[in-house]
Amino acid sequence: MGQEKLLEINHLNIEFHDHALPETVVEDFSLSMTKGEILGIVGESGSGKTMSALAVAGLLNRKDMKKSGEILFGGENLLTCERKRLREFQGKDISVIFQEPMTSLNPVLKIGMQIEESLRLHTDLTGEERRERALSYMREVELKDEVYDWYPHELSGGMRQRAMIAAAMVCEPALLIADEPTTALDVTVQEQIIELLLRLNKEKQTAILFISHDLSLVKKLCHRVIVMEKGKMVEEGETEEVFLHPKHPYTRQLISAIPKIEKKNDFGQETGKEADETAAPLLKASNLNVFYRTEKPGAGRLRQVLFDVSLEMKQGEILGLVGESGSGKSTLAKAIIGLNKNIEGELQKQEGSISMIFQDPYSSLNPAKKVGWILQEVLRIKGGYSKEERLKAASEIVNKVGLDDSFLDRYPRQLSGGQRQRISIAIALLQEPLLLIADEPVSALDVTIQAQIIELLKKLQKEMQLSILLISHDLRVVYGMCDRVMVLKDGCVVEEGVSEEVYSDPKADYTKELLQAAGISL
Amino acid sequence: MIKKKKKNFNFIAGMILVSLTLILLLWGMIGTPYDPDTMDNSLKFTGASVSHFMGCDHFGRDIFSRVLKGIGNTFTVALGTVFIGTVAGIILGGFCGYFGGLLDEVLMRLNDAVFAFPSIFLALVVICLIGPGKYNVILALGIAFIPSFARIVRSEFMKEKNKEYVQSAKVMGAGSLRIMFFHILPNAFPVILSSVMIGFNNAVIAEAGLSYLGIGVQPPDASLGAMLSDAQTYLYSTPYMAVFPGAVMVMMILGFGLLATGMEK
Repeated sequence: MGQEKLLEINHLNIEFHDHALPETVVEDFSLSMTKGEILGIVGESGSGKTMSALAVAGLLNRKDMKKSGEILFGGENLLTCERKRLREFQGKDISVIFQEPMTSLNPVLKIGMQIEESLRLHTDLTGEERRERALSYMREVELKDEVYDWYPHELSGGMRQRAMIAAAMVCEPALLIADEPTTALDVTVQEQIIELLLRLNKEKQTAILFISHDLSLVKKLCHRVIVMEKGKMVEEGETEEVFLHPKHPYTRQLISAIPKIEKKNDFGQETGKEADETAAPLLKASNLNVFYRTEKPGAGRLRQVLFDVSLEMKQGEILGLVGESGSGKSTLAKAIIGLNKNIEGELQKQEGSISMIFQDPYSSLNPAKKVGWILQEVLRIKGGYSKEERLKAASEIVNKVGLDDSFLDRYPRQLSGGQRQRISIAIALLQEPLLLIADEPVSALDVTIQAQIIELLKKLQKEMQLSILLISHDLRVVYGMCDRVMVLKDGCVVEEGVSEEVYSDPKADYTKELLQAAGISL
Repeated sequence: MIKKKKKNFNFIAGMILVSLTLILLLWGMIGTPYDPDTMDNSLKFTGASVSHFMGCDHFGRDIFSRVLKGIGNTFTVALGTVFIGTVAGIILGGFCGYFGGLLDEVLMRLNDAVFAFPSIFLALVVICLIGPGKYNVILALGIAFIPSFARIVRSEFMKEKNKEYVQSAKVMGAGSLRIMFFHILPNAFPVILSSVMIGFNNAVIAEAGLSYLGIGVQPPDASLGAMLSDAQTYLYSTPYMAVFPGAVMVMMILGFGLLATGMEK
C-alpha cells in the first residue's frame, strides 16, 4: 500500500440550519486515507456517514448548511476552494457511485453516453477514442459491448450498478466514493459487485471510500474501518482488529446484531421439537401454479410466476422462504393469503387463520389514520366488540409488542421504522392468526433494529404457538429463526429441507451460490 | 398543511378574504339594512350616501342589501353545485379507480365525452331541459361538474389502491366499500379538498355567467351575476352598480383560490 496521503479530513462539522434549532449531523470527523486504500464507514441510517462522504465529493452545497473544518485532497482544501476548481476534481479525481442504480442513471440517455460523460468533460479525446475507452471499461466491469447502445431501463439492477461503476472509473479517479453501492441489489449480485470493486482497487490502485450499514460486506472489502454513531466517530482501526476486539459499546452492539450462524443453534432445535408431528397440516399447497395479471391488453395477459410449488406447514412451525427478487417469494405469500386469486392447483387452508406482516413499514400503515384507529379497525371489521373492548385490546397489544399506550395517539409518520414494524406485527396478531406470513419483515430496517424485531417475533412465536412463514432474501435472518427452509429460484422450488441440513450440506448449486454470497459456510 | 414552518402568505391572505366573505354572508342571513326587493322611484340611480352607502340601482333598490342577498344566493348555488359534483364524483371516481377493468373503461369514456363540452354549455343544455331557476341551476351545474371531480378522485384511488396499507386492510378482512371509504378516502382528502375549493370558484363564475344570461337566479331575487347583468346597461352612467357586486365576487373567488393554493403547500 502506498504511503502517500490522498485524502485527509480534519475536524469536519456539518450543521443543518433549516429548522429553528441548528442540527449537527456530523461532528468533529477526521480521517486520512492513503493511495489505494479501502476505507469503510459503517453506521446506521442517520449516523452521518453519507453526509461525510457527500461533503468529500463536494455535493453538499445547500445554503442552509454550515460546514467547518477541512477536507484536504492532494493538499487542497475542498471546502474552501472555488466551485470551478472543485468541478475539475469531480468525476476526474473523485467519483461517486450512488445507492440506487434505478435512479442514479439518466433514463433518457444511452448507457455509453453516460459512461463517456466525464471523459467529455475532463479530456480532449476524440469521439472514437472516448468510445474505445468506454467500451474497455465496460468490458472491465463485465458488460457486453452492445450494452453501449442500451437505455437504463433495459438493464437489470446489477448491470446498472456495473454501468455506474464503469462511468465512475472511466477517468481513472484516485478516489472512488461508494455510498451503499450494493444495498439495493440481490445477494449474489452484491457479491459480484464487491469482487469487482476489489479487483479494480488492485489493478488501478484506486482508493475506495466504502459506506455501508452492512458489516459483513465491510469485513470482506475494507482494510480499515470507521464506525459512526449519531454524527460522531466512535471507533477507528484495522478491519480485523475492530471486528475481533471492538472497543466501543456501539461497535459491539453492531457486530452482535449480525445474525450469527452457529452449528448448534439452540433456538432452532427447541421449536423444532415443539412442532406437532401428528397434527393435520395448517396449510397445504400442492402443485401450485400462480399467475400475474399484466397490464398489456389482449392475449397473454397472465404471466406465470410460480411453477408447481408444493408446501406444507404444521402448527408451531417456522418455515423460511429464501430467494432473490423476482423469484416469486412475495407472489407465493399473496397467493396463500388470497390477495392473488389467479392460481391453479390445490391450496388448503383454514379461512381467517392467516395474517400478514408487510415488507415496507412506511407504506403498510394508513398514513391518514392514527395507530389506535388502525388497530381498532381490525376488531371493527371482525365485529362484535364494544368500544371499550376495542380500546382495551389495542392497548394490550401495543404493550405486547414492546410499545406503550402513548403510541395509539400517533400517526404512522411520527414513528420510526422499527416502531412501525412493531405496529404491523400488532395488527397481524390482533387478527388471532394461526399462521403469520412475514414478507421481508426486517429488510427495510437498520441492523440493530432488525435484531430487536427478530427477537420479538421469536418471543411471540413461542408464547402463542404461532406458525410463521418467513420470507427473506437474507439467509442469516432465516437461519436464525427457521426450522425448515425452502429455496425459490425463478418461481420453482430448488431445495427444501431442515435448516441445518440445507445450510451445512446444500444440494442445489443455486443454494450453494446463495450461501457463498452471504458468506455462510458451516 | 403539514409543513407550516415558513409564513404561508397565500393561506393567510386567503383566510382573511374568505372570512370577510363569510361575515357578509352571515350579515345577509341575519337581516339586510333594507328590504332588497323594495323599489323606490325617488332613489333611482342615487349614488353613495350615508343611508345607502353603495347607492341605489335602476329601481331604487339599496345595492348593499342586494349584494348581501346576492352573496347568499351565489353561495348557495356554488355550494350546492360543488356538493353534487363532489359526492357523485367521489362515488363514480372511487368505483372506477378502485375496481378498474371494464366498468372503469366504460364510465371513463363516457366521462371523457361529457368532459369534452365546456361545463357552462352542458349546464345550458340541462337548463333548456328542466327550465331556469335557482335549484335547477344547482342541479345543472352540479351535473356538469361531476366529470372533473370523478377524474381527480379516480386518479387518487388508483394511486393509493396499490399501497401496502390497502392490502393490509384486505388481509384484515375489510370489504371493498369499507376499504374505499374508510381507508383510501381519507388519504385522498387533501387533494379532494383543494379541488373542492377550485370547483367552488368555478361554480361561482358559472353561476354568474348563467345569471348574466338571464337563466340563473330569477328576478327580483338577487345574485351577484344577475346584478352584474343589470348593471351592464347603465355601466357608463352609474358604474358603481357593477363595481360593488363585482368587487365582492372578486374577493370571494380570490379568497378561495388563495386558500386552496395555501393549503397545497
